[in-house]
Parts: sequence; structure tokens; C-alpha cells
Amino acid sequence: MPDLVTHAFAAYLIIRWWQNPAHRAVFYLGTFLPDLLSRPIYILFPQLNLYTVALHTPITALIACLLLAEFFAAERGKIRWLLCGGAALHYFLDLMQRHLDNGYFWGFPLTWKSGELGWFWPETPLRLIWLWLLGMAMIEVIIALRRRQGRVRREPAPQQGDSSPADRG
Amino acid sequence: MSTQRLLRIAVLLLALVGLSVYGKMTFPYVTLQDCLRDPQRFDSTKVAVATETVVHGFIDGGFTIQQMGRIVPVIGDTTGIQVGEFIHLTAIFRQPGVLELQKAYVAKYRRLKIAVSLFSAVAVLVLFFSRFALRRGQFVQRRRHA
Repeated sequence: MPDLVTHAFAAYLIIRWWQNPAHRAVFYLGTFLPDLLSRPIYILFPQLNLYTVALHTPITALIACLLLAEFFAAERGKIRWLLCGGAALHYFLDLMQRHLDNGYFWGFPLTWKSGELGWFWPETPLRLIWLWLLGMAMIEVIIALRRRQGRVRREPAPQQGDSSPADRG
Repeated sequence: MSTQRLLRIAVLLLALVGLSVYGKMTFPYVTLQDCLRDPQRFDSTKVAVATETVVHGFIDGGFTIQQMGRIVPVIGDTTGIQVGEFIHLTAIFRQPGVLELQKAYVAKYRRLKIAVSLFSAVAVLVLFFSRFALRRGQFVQRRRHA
């Protein structure tokens, strides 16, 4: 897997334009879900590694997304799609990686064949984190400036004879 | 929560646990731990070693790795190998417990990757819980007041 900052940046580029911030948070959670499900066990208890192999496959991510969506009080249909969309994005990035031997098992449980595009090692995107963070910061500044401009344009121009708040004081 | 929803949760949870156990039971590749458990059986078998494996030290003609508390000698090229670094390798297992290196990849920044990933995971969870509250076992969207 690439690091989660890289995953977050990819998710950010897609979901930042979505209006509802709560939905955005759900999409981020979906993006992180495949790793949240398997990596803590893999890292903390390596002897349980073989139990986590299946937990980082598309089918278990789909089941985990459907399961997690059941715990939402409202909009479960939309939540399912957001979680699944986030998880799909996660696997899209994982597909680009390379491993020395077996990669991820995309067709589990039907097949144990693995495959990947092999464009970069899992640790390679770490070198670009600063670029992702800078990109996010720049987009946020542009959005804030455009919002401010829009607010200024929407505010009616003061009419002649109107007194300013300072005058009224 | 309705009975139907509880039933869905139970089925999905069971499927998740079932697939995890099925994955463990049917995993077709030989692991280093399999080889160490039965060296005679797995002599001359090709293994991929990756799970949380760290370079432990250097020996004549190679180096040693540590995986799940066990130290295993690896015979082969030591170029680029550093003690304490995470390593992935493919090798031929020889009894009683030696690996003949074929290919190696030193995951040099793995610790940094884990650290930044942990930080990101915490940030996303904070973001999530700033938007949702857990009430009676359900995530409820928090109301925002202007």
C-alpha cells in the first residue's frame, strides 16, 4: 500500500468538491478502510498475518463497507456508495504498486492469482508527501479566496446617504 | 435498530470473519514459518519473505533476518542491506534453516510510512467524529450551527 497521506490526497482530489462535509468524511473513511481493517493486525501481530491476507481484498472491503454503513442512522444508501467509492479508490492506487513476489489477491476467494501494474514500490510515494500537502494547501487557499470573492460580490453596494457603522457609533 | 438490520450486521460480520479464516486455511504459498516448522519437507522450496522482516546482522557470505522472533541466515549479496531495515526477499529455503537469496528489496522508509499513515488515520478519524457522533450504537450526523 502507498502511505495513507497519498491515499488521502487522491481522495481529497475527488471528494473536495462534494458539498456535504460529513459525506466527505465518510469517503475518506472508505479510502482508509482496507488498511484500517488489515494493517494494524499485520503490524502488531505478524503471526496472524495469514488471517489478514483476505482482509485486504476487494471482496472483504465491500463487505466491510456494507457492514459499516449499517451503523449509520440515516442516508445508509448514500453512505454505502461513499464508503465503497473510497475503498475502490484505495485499490486503484494499490494496483499501481510493485512487489517482489505476490502482490494483492484481487480475485479472492475465487482465485489466489495476484497482479499489479508495478509502477512504484510501496515506499516510493513517501518522497512526494510534501507535494501532496502543498497541493492540498494551495487548493484550500484558492477555494477560500474564491469564496471570499463570491461573498464580496453578493453583498449589496452601500447606497448614498447610508451611514457606516462607525458613523452610527 | 430493527431486527432486519441486526440480521444484516450479523451476516456481514460472519462473512468477514469467514473469509478471513478461509484465507488462512487455503493460502497456497509456502511461508518462511512453514519452512522453519518442517525444514525437511520444504527443502529447496522457493519462498517470499516479507511479513515484518528486519535485517538482524551480517554473517560470512550474507546476513541474517529476524521474522516473528526467529533469526534466519540468508546467503547472498549484501549490497544495500542495512541492519535494522525492513526487507522483502525471495529465496530458496535449505534445511535445516538457511535461505539462498534470489532477490531483495530493502523497504528503507517503512517506519516513516507507518508513522505518517498512523498520523493520517488519526486525522481522518478525528475528522469523521467531528461530523458524526456515536449515539446508541449508531453514527448520527452532528448538527452545525452557523
